[in-house]
Amino acid sequence: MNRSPARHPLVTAYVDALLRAAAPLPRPRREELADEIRSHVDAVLPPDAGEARVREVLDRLGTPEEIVDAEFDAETPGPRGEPPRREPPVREPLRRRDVVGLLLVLVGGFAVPPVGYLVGAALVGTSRRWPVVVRVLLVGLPCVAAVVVVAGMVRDGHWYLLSDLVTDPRGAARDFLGIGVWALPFTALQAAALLVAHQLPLPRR
Amino acid sequence: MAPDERSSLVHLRRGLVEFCVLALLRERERYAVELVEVLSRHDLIAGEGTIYPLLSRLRARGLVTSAWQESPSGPPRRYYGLSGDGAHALARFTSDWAALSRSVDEITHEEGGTA
Repeated sequence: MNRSPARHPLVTAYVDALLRAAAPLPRPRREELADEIRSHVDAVLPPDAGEARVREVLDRLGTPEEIVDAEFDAETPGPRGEPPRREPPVREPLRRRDVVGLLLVLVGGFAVPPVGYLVGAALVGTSRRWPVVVRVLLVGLPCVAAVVVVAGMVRDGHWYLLSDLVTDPRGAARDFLGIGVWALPFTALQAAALLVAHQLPLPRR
Repeated sequence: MAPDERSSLVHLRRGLVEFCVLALLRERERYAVELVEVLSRHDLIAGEGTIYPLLSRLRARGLVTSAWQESPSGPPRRYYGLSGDGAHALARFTSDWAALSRSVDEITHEEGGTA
């Protein structure tokens, strides 16, 4: 005969179910929890406990899922005793101006560069749909970089002149196309990062 | 009682149980089964097995200490005691709770609709 009530088939089945339910827990805690339950059963049941008594003790323990749920409560940093705080990400849908801003960031290089791009960046940079830190990193810094690059090219005479728009519209259009294509990999990356950041459950500040 | 009200009570009770455990450890060390017996008697714990996650949480927060001790009958038992931090938390809770329950009593019983 098994001396330890924890070796009763009903108890081993219960502990197995507990271990399965506790799969998301770190392994050491999972095993500790199983030990605690075995030890509990050993403490409350006499060695010769019958099946009915074993069932009663397991019923009183609650379901394995209930125990594991309580375990997740334990990792809750919020007010104690509340259910697990797995808050849905606070994600507000993009408005039309946000979408226009993203599109201008993406293809702004083609539209009177760098004006189109900067307008797009301004729309996104002032939108509360992204946390401040994201706007600084993904909009502010690239803008500064763009302005520095353009200023350098203007200084070196590699940038188009506004007067070209009147005197040589075809040449200006070619320039826009060239700049847009050159900038596209960067702006595509930036727009993609902004879209991803919008999907992430980031804190507002 | 509406399910929402019921669930707030469940949450409230859960939060209070931690302090009841600390209070039970004030006088002497106890092992989990002893704690569960008292909590069950007062209808403060639903699944008795949930005492283990609760104790694990108190341990992780340094509010209780624990040590395995030989038992007069059966396997060794893990005994829990109140740590210094636990004693402070309990003292703070006891005074907060006295004030809170006094306020709730006054509003729900005495002042009622005129509060």
